[in-house]
Amino acid sequence: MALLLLRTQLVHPASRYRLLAALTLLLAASLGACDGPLAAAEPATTPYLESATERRALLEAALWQPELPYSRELLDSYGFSDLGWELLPEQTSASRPLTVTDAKRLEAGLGLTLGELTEHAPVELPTSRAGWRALGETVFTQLPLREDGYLTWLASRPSRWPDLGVTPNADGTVRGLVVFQARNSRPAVGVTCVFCHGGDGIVGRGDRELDVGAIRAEHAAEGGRDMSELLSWGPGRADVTDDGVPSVTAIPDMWGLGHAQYLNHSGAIAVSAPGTLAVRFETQYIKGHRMRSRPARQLMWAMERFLTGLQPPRESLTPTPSPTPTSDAIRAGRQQFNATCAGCHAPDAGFSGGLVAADTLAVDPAVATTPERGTGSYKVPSLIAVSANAPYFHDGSMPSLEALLESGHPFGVLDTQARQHLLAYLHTL
Amino acid sequence: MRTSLLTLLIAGVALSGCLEAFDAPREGTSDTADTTSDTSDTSADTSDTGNPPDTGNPPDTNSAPGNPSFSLVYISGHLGHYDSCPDQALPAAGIDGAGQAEPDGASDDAANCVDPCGGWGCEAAELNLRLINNGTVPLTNVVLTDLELLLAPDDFTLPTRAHAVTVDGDTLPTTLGVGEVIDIRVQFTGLLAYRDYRSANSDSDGAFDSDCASTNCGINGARVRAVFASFPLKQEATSPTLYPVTDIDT
Ligand code: HEC
Ligand code: HEC
Repeated sequence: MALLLLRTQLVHPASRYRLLAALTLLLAASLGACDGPLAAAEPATTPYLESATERRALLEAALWQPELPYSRELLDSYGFSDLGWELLPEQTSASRPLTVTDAKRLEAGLGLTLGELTEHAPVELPTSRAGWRALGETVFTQLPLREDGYLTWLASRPSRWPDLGVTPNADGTVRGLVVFQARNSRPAVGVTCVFCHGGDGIVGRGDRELDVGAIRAEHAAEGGRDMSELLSWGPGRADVTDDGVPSVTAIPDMWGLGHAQYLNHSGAIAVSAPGTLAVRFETQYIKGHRMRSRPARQLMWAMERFLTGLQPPRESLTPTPSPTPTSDAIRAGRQQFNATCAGCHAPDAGFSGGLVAADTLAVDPAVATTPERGTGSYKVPSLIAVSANAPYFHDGSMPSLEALLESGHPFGVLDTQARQHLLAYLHTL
Repeated sequence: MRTSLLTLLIAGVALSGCLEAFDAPREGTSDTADTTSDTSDTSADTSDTGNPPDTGNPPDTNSAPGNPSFSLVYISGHLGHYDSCPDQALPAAGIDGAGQAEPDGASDDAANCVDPCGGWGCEAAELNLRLINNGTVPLTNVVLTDLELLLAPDDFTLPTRAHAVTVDGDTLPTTLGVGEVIDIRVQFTGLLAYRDYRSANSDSDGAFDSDCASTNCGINGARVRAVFASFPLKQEATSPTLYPVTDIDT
């Protein structure tokens, strides 16, 4: 309750959207939907697609700490109808997967050929929920977010992939790397969302093997620069800020986004209404394309609909081993959870919640206090499919659920039996 | 193309010398006067969120036949990527006289290559502006006359130089018809690290003596001001705070 109040006071007022969100919630509740506030509504259209003014309102509602440099950059340029990023031309949406053959050619110094690209923007927009989600999945897996020197380098060093956490697919493509026509019409290597959010080949799963820090450090070393400090990130982690203060976060899973009240570990973005994620994605693509073009907005909206409805493919996830719990243990665990955890991890919101001040948690406060995006807090993450999601916490510092329960993570000490019951219950989420 | 650009730049500088005498608007206003009412609302709302985009050009109110007029609007920009080519970033002392300095020559990676260069991720800083001929006569010989970085917290001014001023990859058109709109890309030399620049210069330069614990000190960015002229007019646009290209952003 206190958390809820806190949020109400802090969130940049955009009452129209808050009302909409509340109505959506109500609707979801009355329908008994379990798909989450954003997913449940499944609006056919969205203010996001309608006008710059609507996009601006979504942005302002999302960036509830407008003075953060991360917020300021977006607030200064996004959603004005007659200046700024709204005037950018639309990006082309064509790409093809990068293949091991491409990589070997690059390694041999033969250069990259464009090949045959597939246009991802459909001629006609989908008319069904399934159609929108399928389009969103294509965007998530195929649409190049950005190109970077270190990605081009990575594509040309297939022999280094095993050490850097990059595993080619069985069909010879490489997950998350695509070829597209970049600025200046050259063929370029681009990165898509599943490069980081497609671990074990599962769309939406944070990659726990990918070592972005090692990739960048090794690339820099070949160019004569010392960036060896990035080796300390370790696999499955990245520092997405540029404020000179180390703040490494785990690459998150996309499960439970339909319930999210906040985005990113420090909660710098408040989810107020459908369209919030699309705005975040659009600005991400604009920055990735060096502010020279913007993505097709229908594609961003499709990706929001895909991600907010995304369910973990439980059969493909390998939960941490545990003795098969009895139904009694699970029932006792649920009771324990409702008494001890549910105040923060709300069961009707994918077991996620609002923000918790970092200094009340026994975790490293660096990411919560980083000058660029720090809010002073961490968001309460979703616990959907939690037993398959180790390591835990914003920085992946907690190796297992057993260790987490023993740590007294912010609920205090629990006896062995209570912990076992909780564990049994957590395995069912 | 390089030579013609340079000629344009030098011509611009030469021209701007004479232009000072004309009564052309030099200072931007904080609001685009030609915006629709619904956006001026929006801009007003955001003025408390930091630096509102300053596209600063009141259109000529007097649009009698034969009246030359143009406006400049900020679109986007970034401050480049110099980690792997620090020698190509702006020297700490800055450059006197924007646009005068010649690019460092053919080996200048960041200047020649606007994309991840040679795989090492060297990129020139960039400002994209929209120029609208909103007068009643064609505009001729539009040139960039000044380009400078404004560093927080107190807009310390650091002149820089343009490598290329282009429209769709080409040189600026020599004539711009009435009502014509072009999107101009200015590629220029940025600083290696704005935050470091500030602390490195805080002792030597009065402009940096202000309390670095204050709000903007941690910001690795700067605003960019560009002045364009077309005889006898001069207009300027100032970007909001722009930032270097980062390696990851999500
Ligand atoms: C280089 C790796 C990388 C790539 C590529 C990437 N992300 Fe992420 N993503 C991250 C990291 C790391 C975070 C956590 C950042 C934080 O908490 O501040 C994150 C956070 C997110 C979140 C917030 C999740 C939450 O629960 O708060 C969303 C949504 C997201 N990414 C979507 C995307 C989409 C969509 C794309 C493609 C357009 C993408 N990401 C590309 C690494 C990446
Ligand atoms: C005061 C609010 C609060 C309570 C009570 C609470 N948690 Fe959490 N929980 C959080 C926050 C905040 C995080 C994120 C910490 C971080 O990212 O560093 C978190 C993270 C977690 C995670 C890691 C999830 C992941 O994917 O990284 C698990 C598992 C978890 N909590 C389980 C529990 C259990 C089980 C209980 C009850 C026994 C509980 N929590 C009680 C606030 C709470």
